Amino acid sequence: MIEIPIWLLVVLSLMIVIMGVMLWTLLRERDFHIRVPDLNSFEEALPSIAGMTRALIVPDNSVDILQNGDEFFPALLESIRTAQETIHFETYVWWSGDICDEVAEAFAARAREGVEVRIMIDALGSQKMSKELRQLMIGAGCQVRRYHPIRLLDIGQLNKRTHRKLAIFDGKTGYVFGHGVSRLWLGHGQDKEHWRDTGVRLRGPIVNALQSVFSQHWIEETGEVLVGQKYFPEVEPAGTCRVHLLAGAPLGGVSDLELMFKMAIATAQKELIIQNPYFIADDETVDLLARAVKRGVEVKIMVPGSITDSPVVSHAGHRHFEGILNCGVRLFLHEKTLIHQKIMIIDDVWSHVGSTNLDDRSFDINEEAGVGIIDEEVAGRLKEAFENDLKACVELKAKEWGKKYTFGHRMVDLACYLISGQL
Amino acid sequence: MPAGKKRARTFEVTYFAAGVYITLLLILVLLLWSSRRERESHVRVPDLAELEQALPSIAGLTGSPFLPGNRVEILQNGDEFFPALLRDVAAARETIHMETYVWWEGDICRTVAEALAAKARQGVEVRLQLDAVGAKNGDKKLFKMMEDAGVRIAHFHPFSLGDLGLFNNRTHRKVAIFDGRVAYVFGHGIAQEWTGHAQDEKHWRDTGARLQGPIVGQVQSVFSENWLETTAEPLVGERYFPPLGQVGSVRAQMTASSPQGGVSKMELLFKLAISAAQKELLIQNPYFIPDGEVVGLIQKAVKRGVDARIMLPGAVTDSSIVLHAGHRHYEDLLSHGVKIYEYRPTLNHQKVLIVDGLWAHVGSANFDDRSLDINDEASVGLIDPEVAAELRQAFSNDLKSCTEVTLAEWRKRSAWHRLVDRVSYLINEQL
Repeated sequence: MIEIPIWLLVVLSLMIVIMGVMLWTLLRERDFHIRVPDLNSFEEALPSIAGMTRALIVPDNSVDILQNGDEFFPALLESIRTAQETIHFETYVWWSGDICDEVAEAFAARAREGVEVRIMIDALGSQKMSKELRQLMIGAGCQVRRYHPIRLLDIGQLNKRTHRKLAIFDGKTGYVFGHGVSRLWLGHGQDKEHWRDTGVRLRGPIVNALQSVFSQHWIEETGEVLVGQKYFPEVEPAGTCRVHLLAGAPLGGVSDLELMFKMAIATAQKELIIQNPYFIADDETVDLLARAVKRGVEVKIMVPGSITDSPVVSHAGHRHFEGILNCGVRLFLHEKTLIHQKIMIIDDVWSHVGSTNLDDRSFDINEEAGVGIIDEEVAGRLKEAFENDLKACVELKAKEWGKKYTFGHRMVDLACYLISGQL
Repeated sequence: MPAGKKRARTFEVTYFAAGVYITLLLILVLLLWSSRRERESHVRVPDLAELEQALPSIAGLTGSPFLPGNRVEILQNGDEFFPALLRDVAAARETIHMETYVWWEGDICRTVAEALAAKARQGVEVRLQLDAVGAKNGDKKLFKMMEDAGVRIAHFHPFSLGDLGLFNNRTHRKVAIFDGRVAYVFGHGIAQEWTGHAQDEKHWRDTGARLQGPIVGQVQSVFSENWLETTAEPLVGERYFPPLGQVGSVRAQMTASSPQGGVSKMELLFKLAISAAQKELLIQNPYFIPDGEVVGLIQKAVKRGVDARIMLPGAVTDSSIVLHAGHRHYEDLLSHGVKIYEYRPTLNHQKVLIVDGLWAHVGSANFDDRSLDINDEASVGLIDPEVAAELRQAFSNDLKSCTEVTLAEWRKRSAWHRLVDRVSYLINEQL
């Protein structure tokens, strides 16, 4: 036993309480409520959505949709092979073996030929990458950095990961996608071992904004400031799509991506399509969806059925199924493979492709990136893909769900929901 | 001391319990420190080629693209700023947004408050974002009067338990937006000190910009960020974000910073601006405490032939610790050929930066750690030879009321002065 003076005990206790509160206030979520005036069309809301998320709507871009690994990886590898000066790549998942090695070797080959290759991989998402593979790239001259390495001194930031998936070539061609670098993303979504995902290749002035987002973590981790035309060239118009880039940076304020998704749901006028692997609606989202249905919007949401890599998230998502179904949303469960794409399509005119899951981790903790594309043709092609995915789906009806939804299931869902804030 | 009394003042704990307590304390300290620390403060800014060529990179790195087609009026001191502002308040039809740090006391506070209240009574949406610390000495009756008239006032990060961890983060931004079509970015506070024309110690020198054109959408966007944080109200509709056509010939960028991990955009902006200068670098700032890296960049600029001139407050300042902390690098700058001027008549509060007579920045950011790493700041960048020339002309005028600090004189300062400078620098990070 030791004797300590009471004042010391009081001071120490106060310090613990104050620091505990400070931490909590830094991490806690900030709620917001969206009130939207009557609009004639979704287009009217776009300047506000872009303005509120501090993104500029950039005209004159071309957008190529890349479905699944079969379209994505060949395109990416081709861009790597043809890059002249700079290659920048940021991702969360990157493991070892087959496609992982192939991508690494492609980067290494370009670095050997003098192309500047900068790779930012999340330290947690790439834990399964072998040291040899990293060494191969570094040995060839690639600059490989890990985002938020697991170190005691960084303990306060360990929970914050980069979930962004970006690639920029010569500052002129950019990719935004949902794919990880792993064999799970190969193929064309044919079975459980080959996931479904969607990315876009962008050309035009929006690529400057992509580079800008890449440079944030690069500066944070390395201190290197990328200045020059090989990073930020004057990009010529390349097409007719208007694009805005969303990159979440949640701290203190409200996450841009959560705001964007909620504003989009709140302002859709005809049709709202969502495809997302992790969909944990909060009360406000359910309310926004209900209001959308009420004003005549046809709302269709596709989420994974039994095939998921995160049962806890799935269960947490179930918690609001009943509410969503009761308000008239059509819910589809994909049963062929894990649908990993993060797609939103509104009124046949605007669509989103990116890395953001519809859950608190993506909204409030991680760093994410996605693009909003204003173009009817792109929206049309994504809708076509959605309709194709529908063939592998089972529509969940309120009645069936009610029957299936036992007390035990409810309890599991509630427990999962309660811990879902961090998942 | 009697045993009984001693026992009453102490508490017996096991070593295990004490250990748990200390561990908990240490974990919390580590968590807090590591979650906010700047991970990489040493950015390496390369030498830049020609300014025009570097602009796309500067825009990209600071997240502030240049938008063409704006019209800009520079507003000097209170005499030009407040009448213009009040005219736009009176002319607003649908929305008035204003964010500021300082709201103190004086007739000007009443004038502005009454103008805003009058518009609110007419049905105009008036949103006033005040910093809870900067406006804590404001007249409560005036705030009440505005709120009764329908003005919506939000206080940024008030001292409350729920915001404790954010308390040190203030909004130092000064912006105003009218109908989403006219915007102001400025350094002025709403207080009597900012009225007049810098005629004496009680009337400070400051500079603002009135903007029209596409850049106004970006200023609105910056305002909306803190408004959303404090009120949870997203702004949707054309009365906030109307379509904005080109109305002039100025390219403009809006740089806004907020401490969100990584390196602040304002810090990057200042460092890039110094590196981009090829001919001339003019800085006017009331609080100038550069870190070693900034000093190095300015020295390099001089070496490549840039005429670098920095105008700082002389004896008139509202923060003598900051002033002294700034002295720390005088010698490093002077000995490398940087010209330092101290403004005599009053506090020169304007935050103006002019690069190569072409690219100018006007805004709220001081040249110190609080502005670059802790606070929310806003600054507008303007590319236009005429605007830059106007600001250069003002700089030259101010120069007439300055004393140049020379290396020889500086080295003669007293030992006491040196000590004060050193101590001030050590505690400057939080000022």
